[in-house]
Amino acid sequence: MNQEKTVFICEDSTEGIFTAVYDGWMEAKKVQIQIRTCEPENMELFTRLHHVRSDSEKAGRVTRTILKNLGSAVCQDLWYAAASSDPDRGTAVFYTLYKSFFHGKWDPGIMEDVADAYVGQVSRLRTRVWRELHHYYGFLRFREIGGQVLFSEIEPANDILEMLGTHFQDRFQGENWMIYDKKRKKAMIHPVQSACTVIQNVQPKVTDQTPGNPEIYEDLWRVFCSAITIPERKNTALQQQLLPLKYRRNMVEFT
Amino acid sequence: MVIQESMGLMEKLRILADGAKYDVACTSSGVDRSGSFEGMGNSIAAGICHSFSADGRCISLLKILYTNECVYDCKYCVNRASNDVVRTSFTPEEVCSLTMEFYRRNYIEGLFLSSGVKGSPDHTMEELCRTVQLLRTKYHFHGYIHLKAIPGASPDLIRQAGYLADRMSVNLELPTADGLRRLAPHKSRQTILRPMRQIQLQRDASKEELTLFKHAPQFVPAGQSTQMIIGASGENDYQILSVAESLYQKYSLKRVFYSAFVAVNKDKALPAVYTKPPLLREHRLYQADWLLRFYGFKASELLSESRPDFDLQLDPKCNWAIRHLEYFPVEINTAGYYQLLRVPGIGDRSARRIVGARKTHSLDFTDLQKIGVVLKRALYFITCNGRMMYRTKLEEDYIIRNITDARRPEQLLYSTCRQLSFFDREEDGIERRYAL
Repeated sequence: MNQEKTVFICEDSTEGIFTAVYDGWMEAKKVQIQIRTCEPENMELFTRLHHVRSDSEKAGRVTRTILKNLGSAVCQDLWYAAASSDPDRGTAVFYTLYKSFFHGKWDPGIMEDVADAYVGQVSRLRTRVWRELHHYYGFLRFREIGGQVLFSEIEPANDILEMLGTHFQDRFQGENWMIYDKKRKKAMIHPVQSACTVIQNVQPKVTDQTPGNPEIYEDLWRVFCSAITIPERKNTALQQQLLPLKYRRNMVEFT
Repeated sequence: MVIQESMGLMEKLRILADGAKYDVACTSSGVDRSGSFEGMGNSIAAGICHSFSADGRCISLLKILYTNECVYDCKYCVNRASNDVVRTSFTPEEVCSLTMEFYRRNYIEGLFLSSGVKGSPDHTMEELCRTVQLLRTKYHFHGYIHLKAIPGASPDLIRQAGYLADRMSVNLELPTADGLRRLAPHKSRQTILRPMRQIQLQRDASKEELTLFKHAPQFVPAGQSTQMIIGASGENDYQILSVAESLYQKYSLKRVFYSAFVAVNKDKALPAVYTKPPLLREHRLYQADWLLRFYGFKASELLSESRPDFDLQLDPKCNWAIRHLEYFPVEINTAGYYQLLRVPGIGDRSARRIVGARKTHSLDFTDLQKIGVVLKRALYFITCNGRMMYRTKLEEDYIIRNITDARRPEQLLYSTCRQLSFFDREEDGIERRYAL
């Protein structure tokens, strides 16, 4: 068993994770690899720390290799797992990939081997991200500002802004919209019938909405949501299970 | 009857959404359609839930009545002709602007349009068609539209509507013709089943056309569904489930919805007004419905003439397994997919994962736990490499005692054991266990 360990500290983004995977690949035969997005709390003996600078070229090469050899389904699973918020996700992604390259041949069925610890973890993280993404497809709310722009705020636990962008780009091609990720301070902008762009390090400026401009459709929606409830079947526990409280902060009918 | 013509949009929405709430069809699934430059919206096959109401049901469509005026007098309906409620109606433009504005704010996936019967079925269906036509052609709406077919409308109108909507449905209302005659005398089985058959045949024809011409128009691409009211007319679960099974087989329905009866009207033909809706019974029916559609069960396997109602203590799958212990224990490493599906605690996802994971190595109980099998239930029915998890007896009473938690008093209430009595007689019939 390899007692030596190399810890790669990378940026907290999918690009950072895949760059670290690229860097660690050659070393994995000799030492045990750990990929983290933050410094470990305790120092360990026989461990080498290595800081990784994100490189889109390296990350791109890793992604292309996965797509070519393992297929788009596995690539999506690994991408979703890399977008999650677990600080140790890099290790799971790395060893899943490493395991799928057995004796020089790639195994596209790697995700079926759920009993393996790392594959299982990738599978769980992937499910977590997928669920949050599908929740946000439904729970994201736009509001009209300036009469022409649809604006939305979200606070996701995982880094799903780009994935949301793909969905809404297809849906609202003829609208100006933007989605702002409050936690990571980045925003996705979509002008009418153009491509989406992501802006990092957004400094939000709060301006009061001009009075005398009531959002009539927000009120209509609230009326609709309360009218559609059957009082004899009231079950707030079930409602909370299906619609957790953390999403309600940015939803019109609950504010 | 009070009809208000000029009423604010908000008040109209409140009344007409309130009238539509007992129609439980809520899915926005079944169609994959990409967006386009000149239009608004797309459709996702899996369906998206945009919100959840206080009763726990999914809100994914703008579910409204076009009008709550109605010439029929169905006893269970809050908008029956003899009820004194405020009646109103939308205009097609109002429905379209509500749909478009809600859609672009990502409140909804699409529109669910139902209606009371105003004047005649044909007149109502024409209004509905006009509204949906406006939405599709003038506003270029590409989202999901679920349209109700009015029983008794002419086939031409149904046909026109089918090329505009994604899903259509006709409510069966009551499971048996006798129940329908008693509670909805203006509707008949024939007027309900005829449009269902027409939609089914037209859908098949449209699918054949699509194999020849790639861009042929699609007729009701997301299929059709229907709804039955549970607990209003005294049918037992076996009758309801048999009706659902034959609808799936003979009319190729996508979904059958079960709606627990909510007593809104006082009528001697209906259960009393203080009766609570039979929610657990509805839940059991949905569980059985899933077993029919995805687990390869038949209605006759789950229930029979001698056992016509579901056990309230155990779900139908567990109940079947306990009564058919001759099929168990199932060996995890060699059993087929459908055999694995029959084990309580193993669902579709776990069964697929087991079949996939055992290609690399044989599985044991720790692997099953990682896969996500509910071992608390499954352990009585499975072996791994010939060994059971704990030493258990393959015996009905023993398993029931261990699976159901006797410490939960409400489960004892639903217990099927009865105190023996000298005065039980066959002629008295089966006592109702749904008294609560």
